[in-house]
Amino acid sequence: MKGRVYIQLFGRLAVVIALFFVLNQLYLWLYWERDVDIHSNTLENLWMHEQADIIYFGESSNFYQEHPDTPKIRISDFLNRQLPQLNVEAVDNAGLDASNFLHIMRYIEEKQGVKALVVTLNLRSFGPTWIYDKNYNYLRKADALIDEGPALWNRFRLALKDYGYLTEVERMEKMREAKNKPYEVFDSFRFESMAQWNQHVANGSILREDGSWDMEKISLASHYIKNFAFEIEPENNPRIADFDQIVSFARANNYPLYFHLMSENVREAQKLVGPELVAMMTYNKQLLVNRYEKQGAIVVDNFLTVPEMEFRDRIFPTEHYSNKGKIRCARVLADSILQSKLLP
Amino acid sequence: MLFNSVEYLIFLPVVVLIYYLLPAKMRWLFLLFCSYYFYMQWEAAYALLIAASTVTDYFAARAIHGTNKKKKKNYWLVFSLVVNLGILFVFKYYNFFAVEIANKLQLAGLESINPALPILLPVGISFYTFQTISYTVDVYNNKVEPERNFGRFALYVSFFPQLVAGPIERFTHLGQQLKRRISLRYDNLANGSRLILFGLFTKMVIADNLAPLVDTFYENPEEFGQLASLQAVVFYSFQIYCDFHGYSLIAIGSARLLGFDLMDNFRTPYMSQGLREFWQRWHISLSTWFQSYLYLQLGGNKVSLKRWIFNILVVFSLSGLWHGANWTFIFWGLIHGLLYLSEKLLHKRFQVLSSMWRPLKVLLTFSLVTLAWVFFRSPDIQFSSNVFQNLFGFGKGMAQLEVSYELYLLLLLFVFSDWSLRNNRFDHWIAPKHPLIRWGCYSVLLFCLMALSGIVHQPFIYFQF
Repeated sequence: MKGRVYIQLFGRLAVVIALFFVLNQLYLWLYWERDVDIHSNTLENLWMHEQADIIYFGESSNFYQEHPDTPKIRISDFLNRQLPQLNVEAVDNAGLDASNFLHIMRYIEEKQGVKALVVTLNLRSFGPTWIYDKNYNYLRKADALIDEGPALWNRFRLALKDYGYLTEVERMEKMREAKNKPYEVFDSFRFESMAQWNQHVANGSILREDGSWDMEKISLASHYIKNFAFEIEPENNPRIADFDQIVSFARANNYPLYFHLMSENVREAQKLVGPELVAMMTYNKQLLVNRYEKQGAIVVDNFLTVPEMEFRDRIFPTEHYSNKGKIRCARVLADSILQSKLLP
Repeated sequence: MLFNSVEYLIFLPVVVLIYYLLPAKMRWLFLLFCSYYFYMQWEAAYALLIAASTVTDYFAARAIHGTNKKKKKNYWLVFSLVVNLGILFVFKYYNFFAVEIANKLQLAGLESINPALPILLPVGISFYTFQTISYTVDVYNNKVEPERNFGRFALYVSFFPQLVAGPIERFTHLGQQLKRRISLRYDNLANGSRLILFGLFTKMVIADNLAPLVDTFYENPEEFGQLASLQAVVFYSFQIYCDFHGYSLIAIGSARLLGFDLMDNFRTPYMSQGLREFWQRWHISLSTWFQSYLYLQLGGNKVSLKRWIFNILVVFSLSGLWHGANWTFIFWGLIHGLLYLSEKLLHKRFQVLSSMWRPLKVLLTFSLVTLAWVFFRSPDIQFSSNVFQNLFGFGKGMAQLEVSYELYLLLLLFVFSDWSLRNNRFDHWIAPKHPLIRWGCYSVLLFCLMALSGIVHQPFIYFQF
């Protein structure tokens, strides 16, 4: 009796599994590209680059433009000009992080003839303010949709919120926890954590000549704290795990890998907050350089390349440079690529 | 752990597998453990409330049954009611009433402190407290003998498929099944799976795709035009139905996999030809609960006309209050009570209703129910009046809702399926069909479920109750 039930059950299961594969193909044919367009539109950039020698993975640092910068040119475009014998194309969008890059680069096809990968190493993206940003769920959804495995199952995962979904309360709680985590390496600091440091800065740390609070500078200083005053913990940081996987991916596919360590406005950090913050930023930067050079990637260190006046944003610390700043970065990057002699 | 989550899709088959591998006498204990585990995924500490309700009613029922003295029986019944309704009041209604009183005192010029307590609403509290109350009252009325096995009774209270959102099961139905020896049967597995598939489709494809549109409208109804208002109120009717109906089907299907039969909670309510029929088809377990344990206790219709009207209004108002601690829910209940009375009285005096063309009756009932849902969805009465203004063309908004043709097709598909199932349940309807038709239906449902489910996170609506 039970045996008969098992036979019926396994028979139906086999039919369901076969049906699933048919439906998966149907989904790929009818809806997948539309869903990717809605939830992971950067993937389309990859498909457009049929004959790219180098693919440059970046976020808004690659393309951000504002007056008086004209024409509108990306860092990757400047790099392209520096390397006339190679074709450099970009896959970029605002807010993308290493997890997004990793998921997208798995779609590189052999026919595209890609010879190397350049991936931006953005120090800010390792901090809790970026990791648990309000776009957290959107970016994780984008990853899940283009994850390995059947496309139909990935789509269903989005509906089941199986992509590390966090409610607003959970997201804010995780950010709060990370910001309140006591420093371990910098345990002799006068501040125990990012949150404590920020509170001090926000309570009138910068005064005008007349003694009143300089709210503009205090606000900016607070942003610098929230975006840079963290210690990277390699065992726990999700971005570290992503970059490690990028290195493994590049190695497995024999792609020379260049990490483009972005410039930060260290001088402004020094002026607004002080040498402790610069020390922390430098520590984190060096941790990344050491880690990834050891893993075989080429880290192009542009950390101090862009001077203060060539940073475009004045009310928030970003990696948005003027065209001059972009050219500086591109030149260093191009020199590194040429000197490495890893490409024809 | 929501039914529409990866965790549940793993939890359920594992539970079913282990359940059938265990010896029969250990199965109820295993299910009890799984049920508490399931509930504790929400908030572990609140499992103590279920335990408290369980202990109270186990001993109260035994005490009621163990005495012939009316006074003692009454004492234990009142004790059970006070504990269960007390828990419900504190966790669900205290803040509402306390704040209302404080506001009134302030308006009267009297000082008052903020009386609100920082307590979260325990998931399923409205469901399991009513379930345990029904048990104690049934024992009191000698409809059922008390369960002697504490663990089995605890399982009746906490049975995970229906713990957080019903159906509210009577002990005479579910409790007795827990004592039976269940053997592995293919039709249980097949029917259970069919119900879960259809339930997930209803909840995740229909309800979850309608929800963002409804939310967009209800964030700022004054911005929208008349057509958008009409779309939004109709969409909400389907959203709440598909959300709750879907969840109920998954609950019934989950129980069926384990060999248990839970009561139907919905029977195509939007195919009703009147309010009376609507309440025989909508949230059946709750409406029958109120009928048995409140309406009939108040005298039902075996009283004077005035008293009967009073009974109806009390029952419907309290039914509204059950749904939430807000005047809008009470008002919604009251409106249904008034519509119910109007229909009954009109039906008595005029034959116009019964002679009306059936589709017209269905449309009229659906329209009235849909208009009443506006109060249910709105945060307050004033807000709902703004919605009605827009709906009847007195608003100034012009914005439209962007509704895809696919959503209309899905809605049409659902309405067609509802009409096809008007006297049947999906598993019963599909089981005798030709294999090609069956597998064709499964394919359509599975594809829609996996490819077209709503993506923006939508918490289950009735969880707030």
